[in-house]
Order: sequence, then C-alpha cells, then structure tokens
Amino acid sequence: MAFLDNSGDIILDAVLTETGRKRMADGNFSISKFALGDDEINYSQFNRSHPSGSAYYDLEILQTPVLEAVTAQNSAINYGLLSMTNNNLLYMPSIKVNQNFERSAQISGTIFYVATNSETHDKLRTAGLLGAESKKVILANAMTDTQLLYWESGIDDSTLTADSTNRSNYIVANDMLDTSFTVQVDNRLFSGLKQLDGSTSFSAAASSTTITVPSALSEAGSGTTATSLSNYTNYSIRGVSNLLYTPTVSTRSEKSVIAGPRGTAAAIVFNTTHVGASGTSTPSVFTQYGKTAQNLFSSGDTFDYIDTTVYITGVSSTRMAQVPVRLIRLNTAA
Amino acid sequence: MAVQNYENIDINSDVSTTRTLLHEVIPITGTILSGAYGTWPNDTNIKNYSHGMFQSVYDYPYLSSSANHIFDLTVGFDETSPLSASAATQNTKKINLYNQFSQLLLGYTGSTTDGVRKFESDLTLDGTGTMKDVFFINFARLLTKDQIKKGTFSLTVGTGAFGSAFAGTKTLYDVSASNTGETTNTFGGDYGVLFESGSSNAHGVLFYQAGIAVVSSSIFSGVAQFDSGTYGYRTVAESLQSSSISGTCDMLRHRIQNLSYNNTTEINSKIYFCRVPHNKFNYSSNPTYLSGSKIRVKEVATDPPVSYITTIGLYNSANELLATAKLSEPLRKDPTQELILRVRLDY
Repeated sequence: MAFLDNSGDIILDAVLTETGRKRMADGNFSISKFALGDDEINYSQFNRSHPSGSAYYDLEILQTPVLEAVTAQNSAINYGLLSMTNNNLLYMPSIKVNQNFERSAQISGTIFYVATNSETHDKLRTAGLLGAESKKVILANAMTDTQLLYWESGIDDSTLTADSTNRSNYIVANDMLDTSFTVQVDNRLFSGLKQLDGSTSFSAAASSTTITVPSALSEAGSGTTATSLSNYTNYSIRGVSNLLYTPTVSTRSEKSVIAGPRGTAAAIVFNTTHVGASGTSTPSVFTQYGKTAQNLFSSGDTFDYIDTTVYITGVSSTRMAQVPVRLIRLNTAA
Repeated sequence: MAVQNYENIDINSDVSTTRTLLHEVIPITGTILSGAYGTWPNDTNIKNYSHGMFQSVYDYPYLSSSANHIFDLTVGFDETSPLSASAATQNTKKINLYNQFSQLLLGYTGSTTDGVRKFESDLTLDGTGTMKDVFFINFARLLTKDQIKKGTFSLTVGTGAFGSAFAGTKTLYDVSASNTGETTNTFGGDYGVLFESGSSNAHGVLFYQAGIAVVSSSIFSGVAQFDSGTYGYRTVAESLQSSSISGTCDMLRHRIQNLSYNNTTEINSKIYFCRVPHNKFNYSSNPTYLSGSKIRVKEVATDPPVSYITTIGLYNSANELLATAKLSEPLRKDPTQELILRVRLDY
C-alpha cells in the first residue's frame, strides 16, 4: 500500500472492496450512500501557536501523505467524519474504563484478565499471581462473584464541573448521551456478553456521602456480525444514567474517571464456551490463536491464553475505547 | 463500526454513466520476431506446436514467466486455390485453417461448394478480388484489448531477396478505415482493407474486433527468393504449397520489419457525485480529534469546527462498504464549504 502522488492536482483513487466485488458478482451492486473518513489525520498537529498565523495552523495536517485505497472491508474507514447540527461544540464525550468502583475489574500491567472458569479465577486470585483476592480478574459467564468491566462516557475536562446542569447542557442537549454502546468482541473467543440490568443508575449527589454503583447483570441480546472487523460480533450494551456528581463533601472520594460532567456508564462480563477444566485437554481455540501451557507468573502453574481487543463505541457520541483483554485458562496447577 | 454518519446518494441526480475509449500505441519491431532471442528460425521466443498448425510469437523467451504472448502466425489457402493439391505439404490443414477463419470471420454463403465465403481485398463480399492464399496474424487480446483502433494499423515487410530481405519494402495500411466509414461489418466484426503504401493495391484485410490481419500472399508477388533456399529458393506460392505451415511462418517472420497499431480499451464508468453539505461532516470521531474531551481545532466554542477528508466510502443500503476512494491529499472541511467529490468507478 503506497502513498498517493500528492505533487499535483487532487486526485481520487477508487477501488471496489471485497464485498463490493461479491455484490457485483451476485448482481446486487447498488450504492446508495457515502461516508467520509480521516484515518490518516493526526489532529494533534493542528498548531494554534504557529508563528505565521492562522493560515498555517493546519499546514502539517494538509501535508499528511495519504495511502492508497485498499480493498479490505475492515481497513477503509475506521474513524468517520460526523455531522452535528451544532457548530459551537467545544467538547465531545470521551469513553474511559473505570477501575475505581468496588466491583471494577482492574488492569494487570497493560491487560484485563478474563478467566474461563472458576478454577482459573481462583488460582489467579492468589498471592504470587495476580494477588490474593485480587480485583484483576473477570470470571467469564458469571452473574455474581466476579469483577465487571466498567466504563463511563462523559466530558473529560476539569474546567467543567460534574453536575446536573453541565450534564444537561453539554451532553444531553447536544444529543451525545450514550444510552447504548456497541461493544465489538472476537466471536471466536466470546459467545456473548452480560450487561447491567438497568434497574439502577449510577448516582451520588454532590453533597452525598454514599455512592450507588449498579452491578446487577442480565444477558445482553444476541449480537450481529460486525461489517468493519473480521470475526467480530457487535453487541448492543445498555448505557445507564451516570449521575455521579463532583463531591462537595470530604467524606466521599471521587470514583468517576471522567473529570467533567458524566453522561452514562456501563459494564459487561464476557461469556465464553472455552471453559475446559484444568487437566483436561486444551480447547483448540487456544492452540489456534493463543499460547498454551505457559508459566506466566513463574509460579509453576501453567496457563493457556489468548490476547484480544474489545472495542467500545458510544452510539450517540461515536467515541471509541479500545480495551486489551486476555482470555486465560488454567492448564495445570503446580 | 466507526462510520456513524452517512449522506444519501440520489440515483437520479448524483450518478452519471460515461463511456471512454482509451488507446495505446503497440509498436512491434521486426527484431523481436527474428533474431532478438536466439538465431532465426530457432528463436526462443517463438513457440511451435507438434500439431504444426500455427506458431506463437512472444516478447521474451516463452519458457520465462515474464513472456507475454504477442500474436500467432499461420497460413491457409482455399481449396479452389491453384496451390491446393493433394501433394502439397499439409494441404488439408492449410485448407482447414482458411475455412476456419473464413467461417469465423465472414460466415457462410450458399454460392460456393464448401459454403464458406472467400476473403476479398475489398469491402464487398461479391466474389471479386478474392484472396485465396493468405497469411493470418492473430493478435493476442493482451495487446489489442477490446479492438484495434481503425486507421492505425501498419505492417512493413521486406520484399528483397532472402539474404537482404529489407532491400525493398512494402507497407500495408488500413489507411481508409475510420469509425465513420470504409469498413464492412461481418460475423467477425468490422474489417478494413489493407492497402499498399502509396498505391491503391490492396493486399489484405484487418478485422478490428477480432484482432486478426489477413494478408494476401500477393504482397510478395515478384519476390523470387521468398524463403531461405534450404530446399532451393522458392517463391511465396511455392513456399505456401511445399513448405510446412511453421516453415512458411518462419519466412514471414524473417520479412516483417515493423508492425504497429493502436489498441482500444472501452471503459464504462459510473461517476458518483458525493455532495457534502456545508453543515455536515464538520466533526470527526478520530481519537486525536480530542484532547481530553476538548476539540483540538477549536479554542472557543464559536470557532468553526474543522475536519479533514482523506477517504470516501460508498455503501449500500445495508451499510456494507462497496467501494473506497482516497484523496491524494487531505481536504479541509468546515461549515463555510460545500464540496462535491466525484468518485469514478470504472468497469
């Protein structure tokens, strides 16, 4: 995939995708809409301090070389341009994983652990591995007795107070309240997701000393095949109102990871079918896509594992978070 | 997942269909046909077959994967030709080849004993000016593409003695043919007449869509030493009658000095006019678009939002990405601009 010649007039390099060719072969090739993308652009190169003035702010961006079009479905437009009616937006929500709640899964190094079975879950939560009673493991398929992968959507800017007014003005009024999220997971590893049941909101009034963080789970609906990623399935995950306001009392510490007004939050637990107990034969998925019988923690216990990435996208805000996840199974205990 | 905002394409007003003809010059120098690879007649870019019906010319030794097929050569004569005789070498095969081409390119007539039409060196099919002893040059589709461009064909052959074949030359042109006239339409598509340069003598016809030149042996009339003399010098008629097909083709190759034509590629295009309104696509879901949650390209809320377009995705109603187009450089988009991006898909 080479760069396009950008020495002269602007040209367009167009190709049919694999799906486009298939549709053409099927006789139902019909283009009805378009979307725009800016995957190559690094907006941090927008330089408001350029000494030559505003005409030069985006000089670096406009000189960005653009790669040729490719036919793969999943490498075309990863970041789409957005149409918003309000031209005066200064903030857009961010999505951040929350590790501060009591039931939050915590990252270990650079990755979140998902145990395939309780045997693995219990083994990992011991001293010398991920730590005694560690919060660093999510137990797959569990409704209770597991940590949850929580995240929040909101304006991550400390210049705005996290209160009801700002939530309404900056998020709700601009149609950027993520009442649902699209979570994309590798369907070779995960067979489904559990989500918050929606019966309770995240809440803590500014002056309140208590905080309510929902953790009751229900099964998410069945997923749909992701069009932009191979072997991924999209799940629609409920976004629950996030009414955690900046505490004005010293007896409550801030648990939210969003510095400004919060919109919604959500949590998931992964479902998997690859639960083979320790000592039994290793599920083939680990042989195919991961590593087997690894002495990961120098404890003598061996594990099978596969690393993957989970994509979380706010349906209204369109912001995305990428979460590294390790599906792990105890192979044999020392 | 990332694409959230689409803009509809109106099939009536935003889509246009065009047809474009592209032409390339195809020059073939005689040295490729004889002497560039190996020693004539055993050139390594010439492929002969055990059936002996034709020989293939490549632009490189044909055993190499880099070799491209240029054309095939063969000869034939009609059964009513004076050359046709049971004693003639490969007599049946030569007749069969003539009939095969005639049947394919001209079709049948009920007025001859064998039913097939005879090639004629004019634009009529009235039985006058028949060419009964001919060379066939079948150009590979790799080079001719959809067809040979009318009025661009030229073939220069040597008419000297064998040892100095190019001491005299004749050039055949389809000089009269054009898209508007001087061609005849038959089973094999349009054909034009190949005239000798500077005269009204016709020595063949060229089928444009089929990519086949039918060259009459009359172009070599008067050449006493058409072949190499291995069996005693022969005229072209004697060679056609007494030499094998591949042997006569070798002699023809030896005498081709230049051959050129323009090919034609027909491209049907659909142009999609992607109309980007002023109030759309001004924000981005690019992760670098925000610093924290603040939009980087703005200092205050009233600054106009800015985005930069590098990619256009074309989708069907099921949101499946069917085609992708990339701009050669980023294009700034803000609320003061409306853009029309023309995406052309060629078929």
